[in-house]
Amino acid sequence: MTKPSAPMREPTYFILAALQDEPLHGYAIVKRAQELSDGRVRLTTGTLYAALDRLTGEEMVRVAEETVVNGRARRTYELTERGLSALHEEAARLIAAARVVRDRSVRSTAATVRTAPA
Amino acid sequence: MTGLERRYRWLLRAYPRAYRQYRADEMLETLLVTGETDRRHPRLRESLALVVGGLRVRSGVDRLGSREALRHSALRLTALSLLVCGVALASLPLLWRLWMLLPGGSASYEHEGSLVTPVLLLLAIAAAAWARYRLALALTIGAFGAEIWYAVAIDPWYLEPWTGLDTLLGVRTGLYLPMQPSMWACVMAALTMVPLLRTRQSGATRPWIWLVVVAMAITAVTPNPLNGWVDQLTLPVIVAAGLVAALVGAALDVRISIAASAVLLALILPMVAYEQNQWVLHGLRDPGPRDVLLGAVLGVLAINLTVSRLAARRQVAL
Repeated sequence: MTKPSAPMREPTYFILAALQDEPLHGYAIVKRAQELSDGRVRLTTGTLYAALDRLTGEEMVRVAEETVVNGRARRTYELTERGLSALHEEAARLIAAARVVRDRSVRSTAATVRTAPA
Repeated sequence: MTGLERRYRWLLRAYPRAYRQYRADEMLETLLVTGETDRRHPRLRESLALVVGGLRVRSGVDRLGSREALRHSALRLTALSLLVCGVALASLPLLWRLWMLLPGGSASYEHEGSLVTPVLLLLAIAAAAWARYRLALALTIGAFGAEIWYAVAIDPWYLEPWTGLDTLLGVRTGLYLPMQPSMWACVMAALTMVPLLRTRQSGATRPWIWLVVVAMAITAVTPNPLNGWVDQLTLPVIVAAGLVAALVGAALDVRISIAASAVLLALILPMVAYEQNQWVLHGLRDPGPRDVLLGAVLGVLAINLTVSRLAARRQVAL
């Protein structure tokens, strides 16, 4: 039996989610993660690059392109197959966790309707 | 270069030089685009994240990778810190005696100390630093044995008033040993090294280097028998050190928090043992402010360890 992977933290989840559609550079990842989380995840630059270092080390993210803009290096990052698979796995875990609560709410609502006097 | 850019560059110095060479320009670009253009100073949240991020890279947290690696590194650092603490505490009487030999020193000083214990513990540090944990454990147990031998062979000075126990050598030794901080350091270091014998060697072995220096600094500034740990004023210092280790250490690097807790416990346990021995010898009495403070310190250390455990989860999954 394979050991289940540890749940992802929210910033990591949204960094990976931000890279789903296209490769992005640092600032674009910050903006996209904020949009996807309805403004809840506001990544600082320190947190973003620490996470990118770790995710690159775990081969979930890789550098897609390196350019020089305004005399400074700019790297664009993209999701790897492994990163995409980890993201889908985490999404499935969240869906399963949400289902536990939703199904219970539906059952309790149905029970309330049945026991209510006509 | 604008004032904001200059300030960001200064904050980025928290990161090691090699990391800055690779990453600083890219981070600066993101920082300047993310920040509002009319701002002159970096935001506090951003500044803290940069400083903490830099220190985490310097401490090697980013290379720990998994909880197993973190556990191995924390155990290794704790064992080394406790051994450093043990050497410091075991050599204090000897250093004090040397100090007394200097002109102007009092010849009436009565502290005694074995030379064997600090030497064995020094060898244990060297062995543990080279990841020879079996040898380090054997040397630490040897140091503990030397303490027992010393307690049996030499009449401990602070049992002199207890003349009724003169004939009961075993009881006397049993009361003497728990009151020796170096003994607690030996026991706790040995207990820490036992799981290291079975743990697979982690790839992150080097990041402990500067943390050992931190642990040595903690040992130097933490109250100990020589600088008067029996005084009431030193207890709040221990509490403050515990709180700092819990709140700052765990947020920055959980290994600092774990090692600081272990070192503080090695210093607190003899005090608890002393109180217990007093109760044994003189009967139960009402708890005084000192007992309350001791309880508070133990509580702080318990909280410290709990916070560290929670922080360990966060540390490897930023």
